[in-house]
Amino acid sequence: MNKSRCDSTTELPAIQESVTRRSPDIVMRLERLGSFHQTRLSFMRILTRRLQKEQWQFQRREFEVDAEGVGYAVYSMGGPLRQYSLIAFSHDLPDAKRSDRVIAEAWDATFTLFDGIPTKTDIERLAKQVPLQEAGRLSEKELTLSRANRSVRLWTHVVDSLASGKQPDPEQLKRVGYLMRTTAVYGSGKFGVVDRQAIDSREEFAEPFQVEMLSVYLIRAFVRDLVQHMANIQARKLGDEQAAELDSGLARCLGIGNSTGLGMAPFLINHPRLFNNWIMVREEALARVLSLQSSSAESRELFLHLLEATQESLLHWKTEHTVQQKRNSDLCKNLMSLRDHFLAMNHNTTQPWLQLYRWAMQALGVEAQECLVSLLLEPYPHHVDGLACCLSDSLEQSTVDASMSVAKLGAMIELHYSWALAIDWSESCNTARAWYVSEEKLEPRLGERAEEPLDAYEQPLAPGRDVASLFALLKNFKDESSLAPLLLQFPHCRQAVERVQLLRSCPYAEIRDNTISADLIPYDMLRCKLSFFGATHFDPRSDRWIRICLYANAPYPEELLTRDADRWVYAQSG
Amino acid sequence: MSASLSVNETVSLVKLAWRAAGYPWSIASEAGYAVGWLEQRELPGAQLASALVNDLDAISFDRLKPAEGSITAGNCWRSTGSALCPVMSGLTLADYSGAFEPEQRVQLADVYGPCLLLPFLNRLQRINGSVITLEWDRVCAYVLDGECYVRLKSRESLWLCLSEPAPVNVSVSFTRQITADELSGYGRCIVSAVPRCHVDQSDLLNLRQYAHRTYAPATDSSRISGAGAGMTDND
Repeated sequence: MNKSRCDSTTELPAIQESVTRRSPDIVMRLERLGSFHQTRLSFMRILTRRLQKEQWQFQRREFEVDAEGVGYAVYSMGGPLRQYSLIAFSHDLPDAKRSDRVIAEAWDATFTLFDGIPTKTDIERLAKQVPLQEAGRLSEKELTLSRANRSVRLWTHVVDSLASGKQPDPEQLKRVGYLMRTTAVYGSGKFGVVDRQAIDSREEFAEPFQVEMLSVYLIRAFVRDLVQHMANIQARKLGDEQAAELDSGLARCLGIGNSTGLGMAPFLINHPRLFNNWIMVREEALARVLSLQSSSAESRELFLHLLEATQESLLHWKTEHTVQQKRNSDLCKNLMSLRDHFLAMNHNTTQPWLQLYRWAMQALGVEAQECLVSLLLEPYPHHVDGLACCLSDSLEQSTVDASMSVAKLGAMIELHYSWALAIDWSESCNTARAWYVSEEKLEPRLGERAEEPLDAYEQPLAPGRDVASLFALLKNFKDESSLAPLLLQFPHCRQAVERVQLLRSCPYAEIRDNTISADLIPYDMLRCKLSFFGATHFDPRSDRWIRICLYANAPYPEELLTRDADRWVYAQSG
Repeated sequence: MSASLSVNETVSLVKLAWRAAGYPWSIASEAGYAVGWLEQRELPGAQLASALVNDLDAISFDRLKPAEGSITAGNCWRSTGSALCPVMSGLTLADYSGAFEPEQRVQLADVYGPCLLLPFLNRLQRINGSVITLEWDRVCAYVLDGECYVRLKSRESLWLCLSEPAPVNVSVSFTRQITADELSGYGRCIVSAVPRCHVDQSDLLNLRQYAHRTYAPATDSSRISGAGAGMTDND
């Protein structure tokens, strides 16, 4: 892809009649959030752009893995101010123990991202802890803890092919998309790693999840080297001197898989201010593009090119999930309609992107509408990329403004939570589910309230119900009263009050749907979060478990200075 | 023997433990926040949270709140039961911040672990703007401009005094300003660049045992409804 097309310094059409951001009533519905795609503001792309711009230096410092695939490796990336090292521990895992579940106890490889360059003593310490994952203890010198399992069928195919002097079958590579998939990447103080607050002043971690994204980026490089190493070993066993070297183009089409369960869903509810920032930035970026008075031939050409690349990519989006299959099939048809309409429309009109967007809102499904949003941002890095600095949330915990009057709070609830007030919460189908953490597996679950005794264990993840309940209590207090007496009498309402008040400054903080209803599809929440990471090829394994691919087609660390570090996500694989 | 925990780990643990002891999620969450605030300043948050959770577990939360009548009547707050929860008292002080005038003093009768009031007085100070003084037994603390200053009135271990969980009478006073001379002799509680929580193993075990109570026992139904239950993972 032509790198110069990332830079539209020559094209800065004046913003005259600005389009406002879309209403939270439209955006914050689960169906739409669950249809989000990666954008140029996705966390992976922010990272690779930074690594290239700042010319981060990569070094494979150690690779001590034996013929059985057991050992460790250290991969470092150095930026203008600091260095970070992925310490990878490779294990010989019997097939029977290989599980994607977060509750597994053994993995093919385990990792930590280390702050700096580790000493021998650090590696010895971590060799005792990292393979234990949740059962181990890490320190403030470590930034993340993660693990990955092989895709057995692809791993074997690639090792066998290379060992026999051949390249692996490109179709098989595309079908699976990764050699290993992570099952968890823990940061933010979990299991003893450093707190996010202690490192969020570092410029390289100013945007969300950059530590986790850097970890996965280096894991991908390690996995490529490990499969080559195992092929070389096998070749020697077969009597050949050397296996074939994995073609760099084939290697590049491989990402890192990720399996994600329900643990990700509560995050969006538990971090309302951060979630608001993600959505607000995306909506602001869209509004800026829709406000443009005209579009240049160059930007239209790029848009069309990326639309066609997306159509091509859809062919490699494999899933056995029937709902997603139908969505992909509809998306395929919708993108053809979009292309036809785009080619036929008059672009010499006022606000042409707005015209296209309005047409899409009438003619296309939600999945395609949100795909269009992603594509619209691409030609305009100068309007969009600077917004990345607003994605994070560095404020302390929100506090309730108890001086607000009861009448004011009531009016805010009527304004922002009409969707929740319209739900009959006495109907069992509207409270059919309960979020809880299971004792057996220590992972979030979504249970059927009527079938299990869950009320005592329920996590506070139903803001709609809680705000409706708060609204009903308001009638016990005088309109002009402050909220202090209410908070004293009903302390359990504090969180609901806080959420309502947060919407004054954070209009996109709340999912405007019932998160405990019988027809909730948790997948929507998982996909929304993963789209911000930059994930592609969502493959739901059920309504509450999803596989994705990260970094497919991205340049490897040693290719950062010579290849496109921005729009690699649209590259044609293989 | 202590364990080195991240602040986030400690905050989450305390939140779950206090929830297990019968606190509403909202208040348990604030307890976690308060412990994190103290630990970042190397004050005994986790130790107090562990001691208090034992004491408070047996008492209905409703009996630990300030009685509304005592708040409206004047300057001595009392609990609806026998003693006051420091988290609920601190939150209520911040909620009623508009009611406090400069040079006013509020007495709180029998507050458990009063050191846990400090994070909320910091919040109150930001709203109210006054300099706030917190006093109990041998301890005197100032909260101003997001900073906390502590001293003892006698030559005893500061840590021991601050980590005392038993209920004591507490005085909170509001003044317009404070001079440098008045602050001399006070230790400023500085936030560490990379804060860690050094939690005694017995406190850690205690908090974990409470936290564990928030996890639902597995049932046949829950096993089936797990995110990846019954599915093969190898591909």
